[in-house]
Amino acid sequence: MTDWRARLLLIAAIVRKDLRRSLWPWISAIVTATILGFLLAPAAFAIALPRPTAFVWFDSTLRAFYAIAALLATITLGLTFYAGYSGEVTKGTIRSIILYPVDANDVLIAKLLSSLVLSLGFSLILFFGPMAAFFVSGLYPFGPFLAVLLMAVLMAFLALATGAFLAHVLARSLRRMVVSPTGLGLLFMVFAILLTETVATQIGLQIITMGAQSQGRILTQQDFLSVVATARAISVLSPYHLGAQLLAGAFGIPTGFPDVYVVVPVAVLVLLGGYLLGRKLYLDLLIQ
Amino acid sequence: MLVQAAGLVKQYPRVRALDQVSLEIREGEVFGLFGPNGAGKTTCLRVLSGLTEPDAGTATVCGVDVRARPNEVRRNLGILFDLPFPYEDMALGQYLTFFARMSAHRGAAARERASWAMNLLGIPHHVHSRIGKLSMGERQRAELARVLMAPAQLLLLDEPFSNVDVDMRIGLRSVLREWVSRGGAILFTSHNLLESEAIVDRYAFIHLGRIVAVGTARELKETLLAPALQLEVSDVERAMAVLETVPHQTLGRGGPGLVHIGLLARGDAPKVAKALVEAGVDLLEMRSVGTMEDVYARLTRAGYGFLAPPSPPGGTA
Repeated sequence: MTDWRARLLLIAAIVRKDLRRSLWPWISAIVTATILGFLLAPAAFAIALPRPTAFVWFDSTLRAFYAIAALLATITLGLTFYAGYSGEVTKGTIRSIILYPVDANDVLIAKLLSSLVLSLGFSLILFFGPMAAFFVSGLYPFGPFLAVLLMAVLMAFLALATGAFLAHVLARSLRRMVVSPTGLGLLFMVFAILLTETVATQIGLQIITMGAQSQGRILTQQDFLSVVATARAISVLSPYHLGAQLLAGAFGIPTGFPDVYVVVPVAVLVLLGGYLLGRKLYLDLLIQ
Repeated sequence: MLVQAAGLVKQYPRVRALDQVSLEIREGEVFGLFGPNGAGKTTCLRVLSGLTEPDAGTATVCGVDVRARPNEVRRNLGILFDLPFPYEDMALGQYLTFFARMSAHRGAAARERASWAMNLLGIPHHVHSRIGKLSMGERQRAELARVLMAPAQLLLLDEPFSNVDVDMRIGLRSVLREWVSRGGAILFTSHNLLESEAIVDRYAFIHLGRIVAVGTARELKETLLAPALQLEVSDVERAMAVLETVPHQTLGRGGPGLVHIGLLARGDAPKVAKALVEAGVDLLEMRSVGTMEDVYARLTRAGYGFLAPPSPPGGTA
């Protein structure tokens, strides 16, 4: 059996094991989505029945739904990866896996993939469940909303994977796991949200408001514009910003060429470096 | 040669876990690695299985260079560490099927392999039981089942018989012996030296990261223990009188009908038998005395200090 095929089979075995764990998170997600769905259903039918109109995407609607999807993706992906990776390291069960011919990349890739699948499942339930009535009534189009959710999950995954593989780079360089793939992955996901134009603008406004109050003056139009410009400039660091631009293009909202020149090269570089250095990691790093 | 290690060194911040360790393990042998807690046994197993990077030295395991391809080494190994961390929420059948897949068995073959292992270890009735609900002995059997499913050439077994009842120990020894007879090898660690004599072919004693003695039980006993015999005779009083004429170190009664004699040289044993027979004393049984625990104790007295209390600060013990 070729080496890469043997490794894929090992990764598949770990993913399969992770996907067959507890039923309780699924039951919780379904119950939560169902309750919220029932609560929101009257509103959906009240809007839809007298005056059904075609849904139109514009920048602020995209931002609102994309923000919900991004938060959901961050939470579900973060929790599933934490439970799958750090949970195994903390409980010690990872010691059983590393007795087999896996390397650090195989373990990390398997955990990322199983988190992605679980996160997709939970996000689908929690995103579409509460708004089920809006789709059934025809108020919201299912396909574009699915695209919004998938893009959010994909971008959260890109942030998580980049952070996790950066932990491999650091571990190999410093010869010890100074920060775990979970820790750095979650940090990258949080920063991916904080660096979006919307959140960065809000944070910037809070900061300059406090500054203005301490100086006894009020905010000017110039202050506001400078914050917006700064937030727009740093948002190129966020994968969510890239995802939003791609979605906006797909939905016909003019945004110009997507800002791929930061996120994509950095992610490719870190993922490649992390993979190559991860092959040389000794797995006792995972034994606490 | 399945294992060839030379000059392995592993230095942790406060302790030198391996200090110029060299080992050779051949096909078809059970190699026992013994020593007190913290001597370096587990570090040695981890280095040989590619889990821990050695600071110096070379090691080839099943033809794979451990330092060059640390993760490839485990393709040929079945590994059991003394403190397993199983998935307690998984059913036994599910657990073993997962590890059968990790051992390169696919689809139905993985389930068949898991059933085979459960039957071998006498736990098929627990197929649907959660690991967390099993007794410690049953968990140990589950771990041994996991290891035996691997398509391995070498088994690294750290305390494999702990928590296992006597019947199962006897059964397991024959399973491992049969496995070795097919060309594999076992690197075995334990604190139970008496039991190890039933399975181990060659011994290595490790202390403070150094291998201090290597050899078969016979070689080690001959080298390190004074030759001694336990004799079962028809007349103890006459036997004692006769044996006073044979060169010896110690002579004493060992119980009803038993005499214990410590010889000056191993070659003196025939002289003992001859003297007794010529004097008309019936010699019912004669056997060599000395266990691997005696070897361990001898190594202790030789200054390796296995059992010595720690030195007081600023002084010597």
